[in-house]
Parts: sequence; C-alpha cells; structure tokens
Amino acid sequence: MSNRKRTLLTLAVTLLLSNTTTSAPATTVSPVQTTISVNGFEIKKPLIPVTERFTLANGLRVVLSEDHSAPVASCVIVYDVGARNEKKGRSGFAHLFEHMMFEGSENVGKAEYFKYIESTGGNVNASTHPDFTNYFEKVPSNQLELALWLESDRMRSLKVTPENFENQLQTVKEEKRLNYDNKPYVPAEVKMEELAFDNWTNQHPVIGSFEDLDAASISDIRQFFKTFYAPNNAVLAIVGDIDPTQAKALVHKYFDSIPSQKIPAPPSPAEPVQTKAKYLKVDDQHAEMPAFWMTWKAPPRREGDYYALGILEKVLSTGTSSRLYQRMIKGDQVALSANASYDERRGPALFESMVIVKPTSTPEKAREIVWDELEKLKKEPISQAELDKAKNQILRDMFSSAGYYTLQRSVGRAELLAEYTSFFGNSTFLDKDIEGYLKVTPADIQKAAQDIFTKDGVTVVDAVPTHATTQAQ
Amino acid sequence: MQLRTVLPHSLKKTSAASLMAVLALSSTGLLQPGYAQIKAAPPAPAKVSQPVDVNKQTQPTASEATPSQIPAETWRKNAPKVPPPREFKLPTPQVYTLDNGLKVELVEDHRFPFITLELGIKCGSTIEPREKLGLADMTSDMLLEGTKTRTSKQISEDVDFIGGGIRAGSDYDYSMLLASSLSKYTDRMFDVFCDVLLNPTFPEDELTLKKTNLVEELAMRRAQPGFLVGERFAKVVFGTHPYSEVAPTPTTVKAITRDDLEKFHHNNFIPNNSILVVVGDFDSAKLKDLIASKFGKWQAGSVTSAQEPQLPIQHGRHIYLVNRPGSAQSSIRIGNTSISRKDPNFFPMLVANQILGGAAQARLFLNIREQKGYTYGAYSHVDARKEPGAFAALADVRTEVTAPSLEEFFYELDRLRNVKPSAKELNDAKNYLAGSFQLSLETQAGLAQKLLDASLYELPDDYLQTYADKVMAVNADDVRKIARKMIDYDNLVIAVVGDAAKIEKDLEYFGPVDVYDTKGKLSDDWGKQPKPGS
Repeated sequence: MSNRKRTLLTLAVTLLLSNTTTSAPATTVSPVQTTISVNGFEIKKPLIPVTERFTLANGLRVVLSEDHSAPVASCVIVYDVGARNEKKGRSGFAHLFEHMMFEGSENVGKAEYFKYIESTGGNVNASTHPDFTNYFEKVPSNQLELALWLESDRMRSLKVTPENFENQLQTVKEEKRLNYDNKPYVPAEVKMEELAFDNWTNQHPVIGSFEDLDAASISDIRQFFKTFYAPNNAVLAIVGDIDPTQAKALVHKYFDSIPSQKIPAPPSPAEPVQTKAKYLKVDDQHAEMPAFWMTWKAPPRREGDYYALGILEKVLSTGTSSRLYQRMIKGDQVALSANASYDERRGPALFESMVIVKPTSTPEKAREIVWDELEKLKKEPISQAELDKAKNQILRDMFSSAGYYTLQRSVGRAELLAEYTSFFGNSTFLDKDIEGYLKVTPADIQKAAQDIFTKDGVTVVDAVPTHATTQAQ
Repeated sequence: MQLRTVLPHSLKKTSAASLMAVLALSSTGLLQPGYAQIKAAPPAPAKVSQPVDVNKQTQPTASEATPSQIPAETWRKNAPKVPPPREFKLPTPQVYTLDNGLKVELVEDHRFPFITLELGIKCGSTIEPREKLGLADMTSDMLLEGTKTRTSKQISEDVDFIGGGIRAGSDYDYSMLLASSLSKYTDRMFDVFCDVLLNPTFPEDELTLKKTNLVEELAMRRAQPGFLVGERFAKVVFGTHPYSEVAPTPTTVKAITRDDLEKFHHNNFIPNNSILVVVGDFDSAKLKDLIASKFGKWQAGSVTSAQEPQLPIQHGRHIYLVNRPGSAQSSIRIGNTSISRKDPNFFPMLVANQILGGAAQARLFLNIREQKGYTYGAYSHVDARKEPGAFAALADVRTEVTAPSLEEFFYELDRLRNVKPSAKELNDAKNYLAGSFQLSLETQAGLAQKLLDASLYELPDDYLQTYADKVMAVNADDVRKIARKMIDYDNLVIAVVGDAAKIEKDLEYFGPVDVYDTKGKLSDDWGKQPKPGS
C-alpha cells in the first residue's frame, strides 16, 4: 500500500496515532479517535481531534489541531461580537467594522492584508453574523507564521483613519445596493426578520441602514475596536499541517503582548412569546414570481427543541425526497421552490419556510399546503426510515466536500473549533451535538412541531412582484 | 446575514446553470477553493462576506492612528521569513480502462467515511439541434426522474437515505453525473448511479413538469442583471457558434420531446466517450469488482462530433445595452473570444488574467473598487473551453458612474497590453495560481474535479503534476504577448445592463449603442412614451 502512503488525501490513522513529537507539552490532549454507536449510527469521537488547548495570560483562547494530509494550514479567529452588540441608531456597525479590519495596521499597509495572503495562493475572508464575527486565513502550511503576524498586528494596532473609514463606508453601501436592494426577494427577507423578532437586538439587519451607517463617527469605530477586538474576547484555532510545538511558540510570540480589555455584556436578546400572527406585504420590483415566508420563533443553539428542529429542517426540505419538495414542487406543483431552514443563533432564533409560488397557483393556496404538511408532523410520528434518512443527511453535512463547515476542509474544522470554544467554552460540544441529533426520536420531532409551528406564533411576509423592470417606462 | 442567498437550494440543486458555473470555473483553473462548491445545508450555514481590500496609497503616520498605549515592537516591522514549502506529492490515481472503453480513475481517501463519484461524458449542448436548445441538459437532468425499476421519488429516497447527493447536467462540451454518499453505503450508491445512467425511462409526466419549471426558471433568470449581461455578451462574441447560447428559450424547451431525450441518451451517453473518477473511503480491489459488475454491461457506441461555425470577427467597439429600467446598478462585461483549453498559451493567459482581474489583489479590483469606489467588486475571467471560450472583464457599478467605470476598464485593458507587469505583480499572480491549485485538492470533490477535467480535455498525463511548474515558468514577456493577442483593444465587445434612460447618452461616447429589452429584443423606440391606447 505504498501508493496510499504517498496519497495526500490519506489522513492517516497513522497520523492520529503517531503523535510522537518528543517535545509535546503536558497539556496535549490525546487525539486518538474512538468509535461510538448511537441508535445504530457509528461515529468517531472526537470528530475533530484536538492536539492542544491553551489560554494566554491576556485571555486569548487557542486550539491546535494537527493533520498532515494536505500541505495546508488554516487559522480562524472568532470574536465574540456581532450585530446583537450594536446600539440602536448604530446598526450595521459590526459589519462595517469587519471591513475596517482589512484597512491596515501598524506594520501592514492598506492594500496589503489580502495581497500577503493571496500571493501565497491562500484564501482570506471574514463574515459578520448576529452573534459573532469570524476571520480566516487558509495558506500553504509553510506560511502559517505570516497568517499569525497579520492577525496579531491588526488585533494590537489597527489603523482607523478618516480616509479608510470613508472608503469602507462607501464600500458597505455598495454591498448593500448590490446584494440587498438590487436582488429579488432580499429586501422582503430583511423585512421578514424585522417583523418576526420583537426585540431590536435580534431584528435589525446585519448590513444596517444607510442612515445609521452615515451617522457613524470615527470615534465610535475606535471605541468599538478597543472594546470588542481584544484577546480576551477572541478564540484562535489553527488546523492543518503544523508542528504544534512551533505553532504554540508562534502564538506566544505574536499575541502575548496584546492587552486585554473589559468586555461589556451584550444587550439582552430575550424575545416575548408571540401570541398573535403577524403579516406584511412587500412590493418587490425585481421579482418575477410571488414568494412568501412563514416564520416562527425558535430556541437558541443547544437548547429546547434544537436537535429536533435540525432534523425537521431536513425532513421538510433537504433533498428532493423531502416533504415540501415532493408535495409542492412535484405533487401539487404549486411552487418553484419550497425551503425550510433553522436560522440558528446563540439567542432566540427563527425557523423559516420560504416558498416561490408558481404563476398557476397563489400564495394563499401554497400556504395552506405548508400548513397541511406541518399539521401532519404534529399529528403523526415520522417513520424510523425517514428519521434515519434525516440523520444520514446530518452526517453528510459533516463529511461531504461541500459547504464551509465540512470536516474535509481545514478551514471548516478550524471554524468549528473556534466557534464552539467561543460560544460554549468547549469544542467537544461538537461531538455532543452530533450525538444529540442522532438521539432524536419520532416523538421528539412530533413534540417540536407542536411546540413551534403554532397558528399564533407565525409571521407571514408576502413578496409581491411589481414587474417594474419588464415594463417600458 | 450579508450575502445570504435567498434562491432556494432546491433550485440550485436542480439547476444546470449552477452546475455549469462550477464546471466553467473549474475548467479554467480559476476555481477558488472554498467558494465554488454547491452549498449543502450545513448545521449552521456560513455567510461569508466578500473580502475587503484597498489600494496602495500613502500611509498615514503611525502616531496619527495607533493608540498610544501600544508598546513599540519593532521586531514586528517586516513580514516573517518564509520557510521552504513542506514536502507534498499529488495523489497518483490508479487508472485503467474497461473493455467497453470506459476510463476509470481511483484515489483512496480514508480521512472521512465518505465517497465521491464523478462521471464525465464528452457530449454537450454544442451537438444539440438549434431548435431544441436545452436538449443535452434536459437529458442529463431527466436521468434522475425515473428508471425501469425506480420512480423519480424512489431515486430521491434512495439517494437521500444514504446521506447522498446526485446531480446531472450538461455544459457546452461535456455532460456530468456527480454523486457522493456516506461510504458505508458505497454499494447502494453505485446501484442508483448506474441505474440512472443506464436505464433511464424519461417519463412523460416528469418531462412535462421539468419543461414547465424550466420555462418559469428562465423567466426568473431574466430578472437577474448577471444573466442578461452574460446573454448579450455571448450572443455578440460567439455569433452563430453554439457557445453563443447561454440558456435555452421557452420555445426550444417546449420543442423537446421524450423521443429526443432517448435518442440523445442512446447516441451520446456511451462508455467509450466517458471517464469515471472515484475518490473516497474504499478498498480499491473491492471497488474494481463493483465497477466491473455495474459498468461492464454498458454498451459502447460511435462518437458524434460537432461541425462548428467560425467565430465572428468584431469590427470596432460597439456597445450592447440591455435596458433594465429602475436598475440600481449597471452590469458591465467587456471582452473578446479567448483560447481553448489545450492552447499552449493557456498558462500565460491564466497569469495575465490573474494580474488583470483574477482576485481582489488584481488591478481591476484595486483600481475600480478600492481607488474609485465605483463597485463592490471588479474582476476578469478566462473561460478556456474545448474550443476558444470568452475572456471578459466585468463589474456591477453604480448607475451614475457607468461611464467613468468604462474608462477605467479601458485603461486597465490597455495597460496590460502595453506595460510589462512588475516582478512582484507577476510573482504574486503565479504564487496565487500555483498555491490555490494546491489548496483546492483538500477535498474529495476538489481532487475528483481536477482529475476529471484533465481527462475530459485530454490534457497530458503529467498535467496535474506539472501544473505549478508551468504556472511558475511564465515570464513578463509571455504575459504581454498573450495580452496583446487576447485583448483586441479596438474591437472590444461591450455589454451593459442598466437603466438606459440614465446611461445611454454617456455610453455613446464610447461607441455606437444598440439598446435591447430584457427579453433580448432590439428595441429602437426604448426611450419613447408608450402611445396612448396601444
């Protein structure tokens, strides 16, 4: 099997077992995987073997995971800040700030962050979410130090100048025009989120409003940086073809001297229970077909019906054998597409169904069918086969090549390690979550459907095409 | 939340357009790892934003912006020295051919309990009759809608149950059947895969539904400026060549019959015109037996070849404007035909494109986005196909800066032709291409796609092994030479989608302007008020 040994893609059970680095520190966690069985499903634990976890004196939490199957190293930093930390009148701030993080620091010039990484063939990007912001670099493994040099320089000495600020303000506005205002259904979706939540902390869009963005001042931005972009508000995960001893030394070298800060608690995301259905009609000048959302408030990650809702999302609309697809696209042929998704957050979340309606039907008729499918889930337990199918799809999400979070990608593994450590203090909760999904029973599904899909708790938003673009003026 | 795709995933999964986009990108080597994969529904979907980048400008002094409490650490001043690359060797696939001519490539990958299958067939839309545009893709798509022993629903059930996914679609030159599943169900995966490939029945009712849905989807695509600008650009650049058709029309879709599908499948889906790549958690000896038993009975046939017309010659710069009243932006695409995938200039072309607009560190982005702030992103693409595809620079810009953006495009296109790139620019572009190629091999699908591409385009056996070396061998003169060849500066095709009432006058400064409506019709009277009563 010498051929296999040379195979870049062969991970190496040998690798996992042969952590023979003589200088391995005492805190090294044994990365040996064991196979466990849950309801007839076999999975390996831990899903992502961690080589070492440690915390710097300034509070930066670090997770290392060694894997030599490809000559790639990925770094992810998760900062515990997102749109939910914003104040009223300053929406869009967390996201605007994410842009500022690429505008240069003491030793890294304005255009240089991307240039440094891209000229290695690597990838770099960031994203802002309601409850966190992440930054990543994926580089050839000999370039790990470059990534750490860059990330540490902006964490300790970001340059916030009026020119950079103005430039990024314009860029964010353009992003809003391009990805929100000029696209069918997106403005209506933003309205849906605003209506479905009652607490401003949850309901305001991550992109923010033009008014709030214009009202932002440079001192706001500087304060935001100082408050939230501190080592004690961050988790760094490094995954891939690394020498853990060397990686640890590099982390100390680059991050040790960055001071910690006092981090204020985020505003309460608490949502009142909805007692009356909500409805809104939104004109959509770019849509060709009518569409609608049906949305319910849903529990935070890892709480209440969380696992059952994850399975329900699969049952309803993952794959062409899913219930909504078979009923609405195939059977009754009322929809061009019909989706269900659980928009998970650390705080109150939403379970959304979005349907694009065929011209031969009406939104009212299509909604009746969605309700009918939800009522079935409340009344009858799903079969074991359908449940097992959904669980296999959960495993597919973990193991396939596609998606940001797949374990096949070092960035996906680093992101999961960083998020779990940031959110829950422990990356092994990933294993617990997979077990949680695999333990769900038909009765759990039925209960979750009854809990969530209530007639009073629904928010309905119709996107109505105005056909402005196809008419002569 | 930003960049959230609202288009439902069921559309994405069944849409050939998305598959084609992936194929087109990957076939030019421009596939950026991490971005072109069709998104599976993850436990918590990533919403990764477009990068932010800035142009080189005078730096403000450190004292002006750096908080004073940061201790000076002069050792941080320069980027760290880079150690030599770690040793790495591409996996060598086991390659063999079945008696019926099917070429097979296998790579074992035991990291995860997963398996990926990709079948490529050398036939696509270039050989379909013009009055039945969409036939090749419809044939591929309909494979999944019924076999002699499975209904459409049973196929879906069987694939979904095993944590699987299966997609089929046709591009201009090739058709693909792509699948994957949890590896403990490898036998079941191959069973469904071969059933849909070899025994499709193309049920009439499923075809009717597909056709109806496709006609509606085509209407939806017309709402997207990106579709409209691509359509207009291809029509002009490729003339009567089949590459000019970016999508079928409702009329050609309605003309497709079940009989057409059966014939297309029977004549073209043949093993001696196909390649099967499997990457995953399997034992090669056992898998070879499985492949022999499943694919062995596939009947060989004779290969259909297409007679394709010459590409048109452009005379002077001309602007093709698609009027989209109310459009918040103008979508611009400027370019010409480029080269074929087998062209010896492929690597110089990749590097030249990379310098111009291949990434966020490239000239177009730095100029039009970072320096001018006209757009959220400006890029260029090389689409090297079996025959010469297109080269294009593109951006979506604010309506009021449409004309200034065009000026910048022309400036950058001309500069690439006339000025040698700097050593650093050249080096960065090459490192980017070589590195991103290497990094894209991290996943099963990434590797399988590269292997399949190389085989479909009939590239040399050492193509993947020598890819990085060939990129690194490109020099500044090669770049300038190919730029002069590929950028036909005086005869550029300029397609714009935007609000004609606001931009048409300004566009006339660049050349004659033809205005089209969003249905694709030339509209001479676009600016006139509709007549009362008409």
